[in-house]
Amino acid sequence: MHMVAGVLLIVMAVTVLIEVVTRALFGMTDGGLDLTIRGGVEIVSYSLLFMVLFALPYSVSRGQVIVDLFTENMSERLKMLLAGIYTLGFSFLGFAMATRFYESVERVAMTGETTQDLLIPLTYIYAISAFATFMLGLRGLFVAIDEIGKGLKTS
Amino acid sequence: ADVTLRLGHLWPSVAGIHKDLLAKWGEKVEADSEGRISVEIYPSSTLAKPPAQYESVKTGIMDATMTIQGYSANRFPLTQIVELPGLAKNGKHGSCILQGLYDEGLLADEYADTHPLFLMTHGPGLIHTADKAVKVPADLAGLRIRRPTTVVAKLLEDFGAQPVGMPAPASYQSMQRGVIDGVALPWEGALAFRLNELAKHHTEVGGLYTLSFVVAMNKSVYDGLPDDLKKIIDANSGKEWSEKGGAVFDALDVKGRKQAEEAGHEIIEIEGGIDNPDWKPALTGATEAYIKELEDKGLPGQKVYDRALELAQSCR
Amino acid sequence: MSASVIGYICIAGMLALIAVRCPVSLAMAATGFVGFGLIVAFPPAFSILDTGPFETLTNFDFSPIPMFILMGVFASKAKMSAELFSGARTLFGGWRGGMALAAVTSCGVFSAISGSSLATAASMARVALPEMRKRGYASSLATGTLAAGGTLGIMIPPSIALLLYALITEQSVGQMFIAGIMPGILGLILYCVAIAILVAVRPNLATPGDPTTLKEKIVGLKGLAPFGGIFAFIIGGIYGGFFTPTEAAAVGAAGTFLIALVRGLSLVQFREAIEETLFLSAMIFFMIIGAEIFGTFLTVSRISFTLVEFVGSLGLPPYAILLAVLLLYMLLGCVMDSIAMLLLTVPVVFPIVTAAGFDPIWFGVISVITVELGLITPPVGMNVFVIKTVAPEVPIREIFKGVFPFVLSDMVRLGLLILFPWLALGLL
Ligand code: NA
Ligand code: NA
Repeated sequence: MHMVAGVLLIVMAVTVLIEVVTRALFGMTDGGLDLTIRGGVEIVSYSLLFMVLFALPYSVSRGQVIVDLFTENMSERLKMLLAGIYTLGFSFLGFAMATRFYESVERVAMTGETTQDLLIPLTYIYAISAFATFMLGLRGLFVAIDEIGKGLKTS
Repeated sequence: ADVTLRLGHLWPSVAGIHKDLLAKWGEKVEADSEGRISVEIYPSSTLAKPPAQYESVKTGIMDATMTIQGYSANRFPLTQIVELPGLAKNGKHGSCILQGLYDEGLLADEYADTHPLFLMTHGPGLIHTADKAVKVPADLAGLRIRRPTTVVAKLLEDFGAQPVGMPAPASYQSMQRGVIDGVALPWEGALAFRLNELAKHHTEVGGLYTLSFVVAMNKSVYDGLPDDLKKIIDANSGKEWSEKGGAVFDALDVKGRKQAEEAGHEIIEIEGGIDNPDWKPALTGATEAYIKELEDKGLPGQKVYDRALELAQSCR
Repeated sequence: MSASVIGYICIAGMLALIAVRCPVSLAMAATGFVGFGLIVAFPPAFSILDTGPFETLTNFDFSPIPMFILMGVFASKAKMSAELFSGARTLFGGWRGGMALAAVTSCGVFSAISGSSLATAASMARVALPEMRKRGYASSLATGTLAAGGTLGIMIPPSIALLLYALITEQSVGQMFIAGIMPGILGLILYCVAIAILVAVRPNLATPGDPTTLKEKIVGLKGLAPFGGIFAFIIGGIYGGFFTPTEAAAVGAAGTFLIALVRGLSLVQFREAIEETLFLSAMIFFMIIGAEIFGTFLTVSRISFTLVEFVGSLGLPPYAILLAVLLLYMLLGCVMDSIAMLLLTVPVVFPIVTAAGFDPIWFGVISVITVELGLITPPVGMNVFVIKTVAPEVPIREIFKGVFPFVLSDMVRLGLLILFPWLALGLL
């Protein structure tokens, strides 16, 4: 999953660079050399979407920002259990988003809606989003079970 | 109030569309219902971003919106016929054509999932450029121009410009940094988004393009209203408000143009508008290509376009 | 129950969740979802779970965040950040707190040009934080400097906040931008003063380097060259109109990548850099999505609107109105996103404040400064959270502590601007 995200990160950067360079060439040659591409903004926008969505499942379990101001004396067991419950929350969020994206797939399949510049059917965009957020839900669920299990074992 | 309608839109609350149209509509509905309906307006896209506004009305995030059909590309292809060159003379005229098409049921399929209240268009769209004056189509070659919808993008591309899609509020910053050389907007947009501060040249090609708007309401919210309140919404729907909307756009166009005149800008009026021989071939081509595209998809593009032409004759 | 009351209860709920170790992103998303559901209805509340993230993540304006992070990660892999800081160390010699000054200044410049204080906090923290801590700076001072420094650029054009203010109040954008310049520079100066006072009063916060001679200083400048060069290239490119602030992020990432490559970046290191960037971006976007969902709920709760109307109805004398409004902004800023706050409150506040006789442009500067304070004030301060993501081992208490002097210094800036409106309007 996060291999895909990594590739998308590079795609984003390269697309922007191509835009900048081709635009400069166009300007310097007074329009003589036109290598400019269509829809660069759109490629970057959707790469960002998928990059983040594909990176979310991989990050759900670690590094979340927690405000640890009031819980210094909390037992490790309780901390672990709470972490499990919150990860379950992320899992719910993932499944809820996936369901909504799945419904959107059906909707745009009817209307034939596309993206603005490249005219990519939105069905694909929503289908991939549904898949990625479903994975967030799934991974959240597994991690949560693991964390709660560990919490119960800790004394 | 028995019912509160949350209406979201993308203009700042100082813009004419908010003050002179939507706020007025809200007040009228509140007055007619003797306060049983209350209308809460959310300007500046605070409830949903512009591309998501129509969908948000459908899902009930907000109860009503005024939004731009073209922001959902290919969802309203028949509606966008009214945006083609040469149809709408001004906001009032374009609104009359569009509302007419809708009232005759020609566009009904496109709005099946909401309850549209009224439809309208803005006045003539034109090209505002920062440094380079556009006098003939060739002047557009290579210029990066912000465009509102794919239909307009196609027109600009045919003249050799590079259309760039971005929300209208972002165009100021992009133009200031030289990322875009110009914008396609009506005078109303130049006024609301302060582009007369940056664009020193304005090219009016009469009839170049327009943009369609819809004020739509959530279907189940409408269906759930008691009959007497439904009647009040109905009485504040359709032709009368469509015409008012068009007139508000036209009045703002006058204001926006005056602002540019007073600042001493160059306003280039293309003689004959889109019938000018320099401009006509590409524009005719764009229209034909668009209609053909719709027909290829099995949509009655030609039929709607022909009817729009007739309405353009009968509308004032 | 009225929408505002539900709103207050849900905000309290969110704070309670955060207090019992709920991840900030989840606390915001959950509260937003439940609050919206209670005020409007639950089926549409499910819809904001996908429309909110979808619109946020396809927003081109957010694309620089991962790419600026990538730039920071490459810079540290290529040892550019280490060089930068040993260069700065030599330059400042025995002067205590020199590196904090360098860090706050670079953050200010970086956020001024990139236009994003989140991107600034993320990438500069990646570059500067490990080096500062390695060199004996207290983590509170190091993190506070970086979190606060990122807010400086908001006043210096290009500024989205000032642009939006101009649009919603029909002011000239050009004049608005000009009015932001002096207050922006003043903010930087006051931050530097704050650092100087801080290290003078509590010398243990920063260990000074060894005294260096002028010649050593000049040689030391060499260390600033690689990263400084990329910095200069980015600024030149933006002001020369070659690329936008948004695009500059990719250019910067490519620049640091090339230097890293020349210095023998291995495939393994490259993969590490990508993975680290993905991880940090995911964390930050988790929070942005949470804030977006929470923001939609706050909007329908109409809390900001009713509070502002309440202040307007009090019939206070002019300066009392102004202070009440600013106080309200600081309170709302504790939990609310700055742009949303401007959009929701300014239309209501503006007529009241201008009717009281205040200059509209000046008030724009004042309100943007106040609203942006929310980025670093507890309990919800996005810049602070971004720093926490980059430096998970630093307790959040330390970061908020480190930010405190800068909050004070911004209050001083507000005071000066109120006493001497010329500071904002002088260049017009
Ligand atoms: Na800035
Ligand atoms: Na805050």
